[in-house]
Amino acid sequence: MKSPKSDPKGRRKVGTVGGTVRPLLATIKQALVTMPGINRLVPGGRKPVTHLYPYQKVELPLAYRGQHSIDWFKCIGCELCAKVCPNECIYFEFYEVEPTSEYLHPSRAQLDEMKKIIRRPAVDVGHCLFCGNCMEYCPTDAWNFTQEFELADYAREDLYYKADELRMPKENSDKEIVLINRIGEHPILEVDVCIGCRKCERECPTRCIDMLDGPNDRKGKPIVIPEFDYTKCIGCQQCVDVCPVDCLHMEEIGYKDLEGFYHINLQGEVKLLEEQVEK
Amino acid sequence: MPEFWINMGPQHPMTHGLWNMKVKVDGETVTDAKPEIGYLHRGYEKIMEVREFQKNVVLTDRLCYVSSITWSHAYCLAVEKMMGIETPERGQWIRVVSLELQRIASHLMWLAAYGPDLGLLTGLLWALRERELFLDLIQLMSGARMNQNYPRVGGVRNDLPENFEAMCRRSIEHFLKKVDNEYQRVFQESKVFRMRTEGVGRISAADAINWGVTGPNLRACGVDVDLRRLDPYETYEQIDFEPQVWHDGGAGDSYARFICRFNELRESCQIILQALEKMPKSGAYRVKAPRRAEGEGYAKTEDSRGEALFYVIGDGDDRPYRVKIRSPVFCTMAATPLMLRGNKLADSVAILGSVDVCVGEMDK
Ligand code: SF4
Ligand code: SF4
Repeated sequence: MKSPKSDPKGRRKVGTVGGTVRPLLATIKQALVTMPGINRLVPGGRKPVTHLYPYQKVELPLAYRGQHSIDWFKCIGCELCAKVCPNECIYFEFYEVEPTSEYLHPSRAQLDEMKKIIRRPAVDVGHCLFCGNCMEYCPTDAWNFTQEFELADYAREDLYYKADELRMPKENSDKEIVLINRIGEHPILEVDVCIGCRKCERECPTRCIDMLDGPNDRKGKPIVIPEFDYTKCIGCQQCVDVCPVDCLHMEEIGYKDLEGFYHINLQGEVKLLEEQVEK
Repeated sequence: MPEFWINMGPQHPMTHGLWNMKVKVDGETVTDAKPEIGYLHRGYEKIMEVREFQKNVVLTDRLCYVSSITWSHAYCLAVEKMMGIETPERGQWIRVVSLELQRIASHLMWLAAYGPDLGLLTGLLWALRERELFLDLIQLMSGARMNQNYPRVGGVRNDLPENFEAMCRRSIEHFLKKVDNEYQRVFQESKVFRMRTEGVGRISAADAINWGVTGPNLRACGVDVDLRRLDPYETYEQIDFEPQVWHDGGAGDSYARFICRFNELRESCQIILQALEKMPKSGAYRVKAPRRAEGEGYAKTEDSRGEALFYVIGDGDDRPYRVKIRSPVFCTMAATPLMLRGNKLADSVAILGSVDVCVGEMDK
């Protein structure tokens, strides 16, 4: 397919009269087309394309990345979002809740010390780039963005949004549990080094670790080593981070069953400028 | 009267960004020039070494805020080559669409800047108005108007929305009408514009090649180079398009550079329309990329301003060992003294505006 108008017109001569009048006419025509009152009289007349912004807001597509909004039912506090954030502006806050709270997950909650504690992300919006990495890698789809874009504030401290402020309204949540490993790695244990401290078991947000007797003995008794259920592992590296003797490291899963790997396909109607003004 | 140096910049309406053009004048005539850059140096290549591969995409977006997708795409392509993975077909087509949308938005931004350089404020308003269409399309596609973070190592961030194709066709149709009826009149067919741009800032093809000028600036000298054609990446070899090369006499002046960019607007629209037609309607748009990699990757692409190059070395860790960025504007800037010499001082704005300077990528 050859584009119809694409050959450079080169040095086609432009006369003094034509070269002055033609641009002038084009400009005047555009001025008349949007001039209030006259725009009804001239062909192709229309309203100006600008919006009266504070009173009239533009429609934004669903995929727009505005204010963060975190579904507390789905979030498991895995801290993966903080790890993929390029500006490291996600902080975690700990909240104490009732043992019957819906926000408690049957993961860490089953262990004594963690019984009443949940952790949820807070964002320093002043540092956030709105890149969307946190949403992309969240293994539970808990992270969402709203269309709210008016985030300017008076003081820098006000830009730090506490976890509570970012909580998604209850009714917007579908409470559906998904667990997908979007990082594509899982932990591997070096058995010889493990001292059986159980820290990783306590830290794992999905409870995919079971402590079983290992091959090593200490004072005649076998020490426990973690056994991973890789079907539940989301690759959050929390176990690697807490391990006191560095016996865990992350390794590539390979290319198997990652259907859910790509998932951000928010769609939405958006009115293009041209469409907004044509009426 | 003795010759003396004048500083054009670092704060000057002509320097779109922070850089300084020192010109030596003899009366009204420029006898020598010396570009001075470094005001916006951010140490990109070094920062990228301490960040993971997927986190670097947001950095490369900010190399040039006017043309983010083309830059982050070049980076992703280099990393993909290093990792030895390939984007699925639909992903490649989506990338082509996004690259061309970004190229149009970038050229319109250049047009919007070039108009006021010559005192043509109408050009600024019109070009920014139409750029809005393309920013809306990009927003619909990726979720952000600028600094989109859209290409990924192994594909693109998300699939095209359902209504994207119809939207795209409609706004391109609208835009092409505007180009033919309005832009062409007010720029190309205007006597004043022609008098300001024709015959100034001439550079010969041999000089341009020797100094490493690429992209539309080299095509304006009559050299038929377009990496989309010569070294096709993604699915450009399946697309039938014509690189905009200046063939007439008087090559290499500001007007030729203007025409090459201006016609690229139309050509990019045709590429988008073709890509929308030829792309598979469904399928994978992204493959899983490993987080750690070892090896070397090298990708060069046709950026909106010339030939962009990324060279990435990985040493088996989850972040690059070394990154090298070649910025087309950096090389073009070195050749600007040749364009300026012998011209009048008042024309230097018409010359420097036509090479499309982007300081963000020049200083890195
Ligand atoms: S990645 Fe998702 S599930 Fe994990 S802490 Fe962040 S929001 Fe919660
Ligand atoms: S949008 Fe990007 S910068 Fe902002 S919190 Fe999420 S990952 Fe961090």
